Amino acid sequence: MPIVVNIDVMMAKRKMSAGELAERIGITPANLSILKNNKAKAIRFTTLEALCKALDCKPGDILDFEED
Amino acid sequence: MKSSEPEYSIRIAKGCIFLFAAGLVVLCVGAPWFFAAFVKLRSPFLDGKLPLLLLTTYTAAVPAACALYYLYWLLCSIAAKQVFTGQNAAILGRLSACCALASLICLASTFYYLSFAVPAAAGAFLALILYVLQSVFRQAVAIKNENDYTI
Repeated sequence: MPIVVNIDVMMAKRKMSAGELAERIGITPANLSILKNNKAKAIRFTTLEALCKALDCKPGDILDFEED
Repeated sequence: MKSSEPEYSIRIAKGCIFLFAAGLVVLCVGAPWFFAAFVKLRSPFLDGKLPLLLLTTYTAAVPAACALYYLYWLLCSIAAKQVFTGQNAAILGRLSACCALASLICLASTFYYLSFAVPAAAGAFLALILYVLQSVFRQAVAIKNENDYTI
């Protein structure tokens, strides 16, 4: 999947654990793990909005494009 | 009450499967007597054809029994809330194959008794419906996987 989700860097910058982030954005730790490990096939705008709010960043800070 | 309706219908379906299975066992056990009486009734048209009728019955009983088993397996999966899975799609494919096989057996039996053309046609049509249903289930599995991995 060329779209890469880089949450780890922002989580480290904000000193936030995976469990705390999952709780803040309203998804299960399992789903957050799916996102972090780039196994997700799609992300809802509401989830992206919640992620950006929780990590105080823009979508471009956590989404990247890497050609296969 | 609404949440128990699917469970109720699954229980009814399982009951029907057991009824059909019991009917199949009775048919297989009583076939020699049943078809002997049938041959006498249709004499002289079916004279000497009792062994062939028994052969058709016992060979068609195998895919019929397999179909009943697969149907029960499918119902158990649905009862366990595992509806749109690859395994269920595969079961539908096997059900289709069982119907196709039974249809072929009936078609072969038309050589000695033309009336077998009716169950042959019905079996073939059912096999086609189940094959299409398998394709639908496969698409549903793909959509469900996509949805499950949408965060």
